Amino acid sequence: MINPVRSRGAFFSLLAATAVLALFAAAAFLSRNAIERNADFQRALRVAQVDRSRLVRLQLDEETGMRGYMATRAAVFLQPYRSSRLAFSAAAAALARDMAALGPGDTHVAQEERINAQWLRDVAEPAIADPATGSRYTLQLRGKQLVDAFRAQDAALSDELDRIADQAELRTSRQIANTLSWSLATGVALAVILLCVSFVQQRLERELEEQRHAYLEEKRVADALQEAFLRKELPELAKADLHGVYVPAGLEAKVGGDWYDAFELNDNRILFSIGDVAGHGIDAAVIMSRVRQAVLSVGVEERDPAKVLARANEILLLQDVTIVTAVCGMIDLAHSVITVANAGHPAPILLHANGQTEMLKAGGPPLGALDRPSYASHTTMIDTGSLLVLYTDGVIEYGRDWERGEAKLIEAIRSVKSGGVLDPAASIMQAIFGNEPPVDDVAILTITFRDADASPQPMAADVATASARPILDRSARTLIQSIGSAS
Amino acid sequence: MTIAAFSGEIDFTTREELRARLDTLKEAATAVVDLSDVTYMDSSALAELLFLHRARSRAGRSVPRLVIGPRITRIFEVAGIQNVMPLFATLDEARTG
Repeated sequence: MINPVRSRGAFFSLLAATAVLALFAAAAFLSRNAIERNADFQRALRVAQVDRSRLVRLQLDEETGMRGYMATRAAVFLQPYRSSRLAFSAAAAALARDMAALGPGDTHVAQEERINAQWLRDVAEPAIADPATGSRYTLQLRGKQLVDAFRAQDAALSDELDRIADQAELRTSRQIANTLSWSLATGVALAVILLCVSFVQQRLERELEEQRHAYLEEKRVADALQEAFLRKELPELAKADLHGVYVPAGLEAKVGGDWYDAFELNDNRILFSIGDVAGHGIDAAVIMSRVRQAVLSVGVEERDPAKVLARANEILLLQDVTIVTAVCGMIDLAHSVITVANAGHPAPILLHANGQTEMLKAGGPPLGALDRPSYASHTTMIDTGSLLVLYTDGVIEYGRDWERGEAKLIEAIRSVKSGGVLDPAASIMQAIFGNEPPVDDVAILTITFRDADASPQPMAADVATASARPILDRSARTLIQSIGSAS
Repeated sequence: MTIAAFSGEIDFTTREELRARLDTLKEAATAVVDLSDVTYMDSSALAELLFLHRARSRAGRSVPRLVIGPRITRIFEVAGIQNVMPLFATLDEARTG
């Protein structure tokens, strides 16, 4: 499992780093936009410079036109004077707009317009009207003063435009530097985040891999133990067919300590047990083997399953670690009876030949829990054609709904019985789980009771309707021969 | 009377927490385990309840009372717990004993 605290920490660090990255990227984007805005500004600046030189040229054309006319009296010189004079105010307005676009507070254009108007009124017009007046010293002087003033304004305006151009250039280069820095920072942050993500991911993967490895190792050992415990062949008997199936849990869930056992004892008795150690892993497998050992060693001497369980409880109490649910039973083939005691385990189901199901309820607490538990044995008659099904809780607990699980199990048992199958245990497993691996360990042990002379065969559908016949009906001689040949 | 209440699913993944909380009931004069909001329990959880009972009985204390919701009644029946510890349907019934 991934440590949730650490992964939450990593998540928030990643979130913070991503926020920083977003800030950097936003800053880079903003300064890139500023550069674009500055380019517009510089375009406006260039337009202003063009309009400025145009205004200067118009003024120059006025002046040279006037002087030419004064010197030659040729009307052709009045042409540039007049057209320039006409175009002047529109050009001045355009320049004023240009300057306003670059920033407030320009007075040079207005001054130039005023000076030009004065020059036209005081110098040019009188000189054109009367060349004698025009050549007078005072008018010449006045003309020079006004033209100088105009040039001075233009020089100041030119300086102002240069100053604005310098500032804009400085701003642009600063913004380019900013954009580069933020882009670089974004790149670095991105690289750092990617590195961190890959580092964290690698570490998580490594941890997961280690945990998986450790888990698989333990599961492998536990499975091997389990398999070794269960590999023992079930006894082959003349009057009963025993089938067992054990399926360990899928990868994600626990590996438990489920088991089943059946031994043929002397005087026609079968000792069987099935159980489930609460817990999982190697510990559970070890406890399981001790309980099975106890059941076997006590069961050989002791005929009463309740006493077998009581003894197993004492042995388990010495360990004092966990509880075990188990069913222990004794089948007396000679008298066609089955005696069962239960230590907190799901009740065995007996499907009679007539199709009725009976739950062999004989409740006592799980083993290993209490100092002096009381177990009771419960005896039932068995008939030919009946089927006893023992199972662990994984069979009915798979949906975490016991009632539904029990109903499904009984349904599966009935379907197996009516379908006629060779291995009822495997068929019940298949009917319940299909091809899905169970989430918990699952063990099923079935005992089919049949005629002594009938060879093991698929349970016929008509067996269910055959009259229930005690196994005892068979001749003792056939019975002994069958047992002899089976062992 | 000391009451420990649980809810949700209790299985072997929550065993340590269950054990730690049941330990607080070991010395109580009367111990009540309220499982009415528990939706699922496995046998390892059952083991812890039985160990609580065993620890208390070894110390000469009373049997813990269990409050059991309908969804987990079956596991208690199957495990034969009703013969070991008194089961109640509601906390109020468990209080009055």
